[in-house]
Amino acid sequence: MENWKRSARAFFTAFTPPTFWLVAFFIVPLSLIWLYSFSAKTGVVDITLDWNLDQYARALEPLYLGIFWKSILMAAATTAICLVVAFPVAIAIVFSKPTMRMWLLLLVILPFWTNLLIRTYALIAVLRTNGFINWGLDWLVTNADRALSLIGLGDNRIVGPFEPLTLLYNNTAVVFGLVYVSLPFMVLPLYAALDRLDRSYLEASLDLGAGHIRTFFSIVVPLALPGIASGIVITFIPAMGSYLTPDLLGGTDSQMIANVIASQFKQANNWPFGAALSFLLMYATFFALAIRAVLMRKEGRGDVK
Amino acid sequence: MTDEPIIRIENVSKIFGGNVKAVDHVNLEVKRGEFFALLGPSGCGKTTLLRMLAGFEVPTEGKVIIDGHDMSSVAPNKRPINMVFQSYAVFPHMSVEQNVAYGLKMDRRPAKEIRERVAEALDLVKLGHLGKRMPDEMSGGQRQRVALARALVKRPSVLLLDEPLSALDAKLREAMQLELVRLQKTVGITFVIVTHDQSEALSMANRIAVMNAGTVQQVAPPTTLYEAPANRFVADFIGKINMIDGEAVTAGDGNVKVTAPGIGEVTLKGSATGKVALAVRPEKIFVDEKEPTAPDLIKVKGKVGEVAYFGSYSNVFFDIGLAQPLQADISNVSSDIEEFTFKAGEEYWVYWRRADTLVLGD
Amino acid sequence: MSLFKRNPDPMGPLDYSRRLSLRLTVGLTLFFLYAPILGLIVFSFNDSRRNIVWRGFTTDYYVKLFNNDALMLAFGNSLTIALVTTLFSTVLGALTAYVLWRYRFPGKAVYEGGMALPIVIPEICMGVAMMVFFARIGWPSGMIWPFNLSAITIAHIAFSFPFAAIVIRARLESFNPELAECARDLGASEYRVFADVVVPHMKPGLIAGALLAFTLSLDDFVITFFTSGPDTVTFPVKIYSMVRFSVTPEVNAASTVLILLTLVVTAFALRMQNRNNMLGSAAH
Repeated sequence: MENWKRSARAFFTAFTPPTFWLVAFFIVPLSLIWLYSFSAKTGVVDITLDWNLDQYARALEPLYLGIFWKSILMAAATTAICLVVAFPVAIAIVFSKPTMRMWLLLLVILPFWTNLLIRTYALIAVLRTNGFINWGLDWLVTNADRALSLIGLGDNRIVGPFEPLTLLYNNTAVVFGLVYVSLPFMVLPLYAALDRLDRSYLEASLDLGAGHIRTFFSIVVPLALPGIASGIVITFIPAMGSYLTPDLLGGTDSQMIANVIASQFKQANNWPFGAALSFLLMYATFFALAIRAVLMRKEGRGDVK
Repeated sequence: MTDEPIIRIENVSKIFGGNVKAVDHVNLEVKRGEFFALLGPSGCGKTTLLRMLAGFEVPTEGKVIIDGHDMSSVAPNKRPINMVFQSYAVFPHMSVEQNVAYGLKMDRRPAKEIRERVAEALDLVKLGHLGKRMPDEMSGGQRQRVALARALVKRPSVLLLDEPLSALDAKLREAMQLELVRLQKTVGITFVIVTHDQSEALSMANRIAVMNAGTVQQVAPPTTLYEAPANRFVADFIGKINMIDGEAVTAGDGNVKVTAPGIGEVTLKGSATGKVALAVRPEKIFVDEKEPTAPDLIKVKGKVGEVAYFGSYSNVFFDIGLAQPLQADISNVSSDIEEFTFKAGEEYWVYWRRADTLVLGD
Repeated sequence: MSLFKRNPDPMGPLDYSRRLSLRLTVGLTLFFLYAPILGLIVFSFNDSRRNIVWRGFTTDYYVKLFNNDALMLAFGNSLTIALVTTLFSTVLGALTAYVLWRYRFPGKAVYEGGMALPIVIPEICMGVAMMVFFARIGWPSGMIWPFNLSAITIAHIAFSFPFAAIVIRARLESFNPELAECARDLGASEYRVFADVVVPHMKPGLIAGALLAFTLSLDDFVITFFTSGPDTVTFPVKIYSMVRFSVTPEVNAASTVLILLTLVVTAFALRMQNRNNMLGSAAH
């Protein structure tokens, strides 16, 4: 690594363009929003910057706080489900033969590369009243009834008629959708953490008399904690700030914070308030990152041989 | 105390991926209270065999019987065996005490008993004062002792050690060799170690199984392996040896008649016939300027080639007219430098006793 | 090694991937991940508007798709934006990676943090920030094509070049600085060293970064949603409005096309990334 002064001209030639872009087209817009969050609305797009905290105060009202809280809860639920599902998958991949491993990883990552909009849209066909799940259940129930009628218990005496489940346009759908799009995000860091884990630790634990479950919780989880923390954070944060999934799959009361922010800018035209909400979301994001940083520093012992 | 061996390996084979034979029809017995070594070059199957004892590999064929019980369906965490891993595998997120206590916790021993036994084990490996330390604050040698204590505290019937000394520096290695032998005598349980270092095995073990390419070449105490190796491989793997190719035919009375270029015809004790190697260890060879006249010697004239001086002895290579030179370890028994200097090109009579000669088949 | 040959070795205690419970979990998870997408693709060929019962194979909806002028225009917009974004992002990403790899300077840690911001920040925040920004500085609207796509493009470049920078930086880690010193020794100027020695080494990273930027731009919805207008619609935004209205096979067809495009680009990117990683361990 060179000290920048030793070739200052080259340094600045390389340094300036990206920095300009970052500042002009990222930092400045964000700062602008930040200023807006302290302003009051005076007209359709006009505002006065009077450094008041009214917008934040409004953002913390029960109505909006409730939506924040709901977003956090749904993101937490998503993360928890993803963790439970991704762990066995990551374990299976890590302990597979190398060729198999590559294919499995590829298969798990591939959906991640497909457009989020499309993946979410695909779920509509699955979840709606005459979608795949209900269609499948209907088939099961109808045929169960037919089978029962062979022994004279048909005609909906025991099962059915089939009532389609309302799986769409509610909170369940949103969580389902969030899990669906976030799962690959969780598998990768778990896989990376498990891959780095020295297998002798597992063998030593078994050798000393622990069962597999005990080994998992006493040895694997503590040593893979940084990877687990990474996975949790990169699943939680996008889930919390998700716009498309609640928009397409949610009902009127499944709005998440991103939808509220969007409506402030698109429909309600209350930019200062939207700005305040945006920044609260950003602070929540940074908070989650900070927690992860703390966890990483405390438990980074997995590499000691 | 029964005579029944504590470990019986019956016709065990391990084949990987359908065609890689790591262990090939091995039969072995380990006696109670022994310090037993599995010795061989890398890839010979010794580690695989050890892991089959521990339960981390499952034999493709054959049975592992420990203390009279067939281990075929017994998981590693249920065997009366504990292992010290090559990398020690000391859990980095637990303190020394917590590591050592882990196995006892799995056995659900009462807390008081655990505390006492952990303290006892740490004292045994001389780490009594370091109980609260974390592994990343300790040296490699100390971590190994934690691994030892952790395994021994469970009072297993057998302790397995996978290349215990390979990661230590030379000085520590020597100290640890003595330490392990002392430990085994104190605790009294059977030790089985895996090593590729023949001097380690020779100095520590009661009996050694020399392995090559998945098969056991010879099982014997160190002295037997050294002075009476069963074949070329064992002779060459253990210590240094001179080998002269020749032909042998039976000569009755447990003898064979060996014909070798440069040596001529000689009758020796042995049983190998056909293509054999006439072999003699370097330290059994003597030199003299005059032809030796004692009976029962094998003697050849040789010209000094390379000489390596080691102070207490010199390793001298003699050209005796064959493709390979003969190497002799000649003790420096005189402080007369002139008498003990070997210059290249000098001619000497090189000789050794007929009784010290080995006849080795493949 | 064949995927389906029976494994003759007996199962060891840590052979988790061979246990039925784990195999079932993996199988179910993969089914869960792929079934909806496959369903979507399959039904794009369904000869039925209602989209749930299979009525016969048809490519009608693809025909409709390609005749849908508004949709094709949107696709054209998306491609244009993606190509320009890719170009700028690769350059800016390369420069960023170079600076971070080569130099020590005061505030570097803060700078690296700043570069990570676009990656970490929720898209909605960046989207609204861009919208307010362009409105506030009076970015001209109603310009002719392609300049009317400038706002979207600028935003896309801003959020994708840090991603490209990460990929390129990874490639630079394997660069031997002695090569650059040697070139200097032979008389090359800073610029020539960069162009003749550094850039060729960066190439796999540049390609991987470019493909990443392309995909990110092509697929982006949220940020585009806030920086586009009625006359600057991109493909994902157009599909969004179609989805809002109804679930028709035409939307399925459009989605399938986008999936295919992304797949092709991704496959190519992965092959490049593989070379990125493999060449990294070779001498150059």
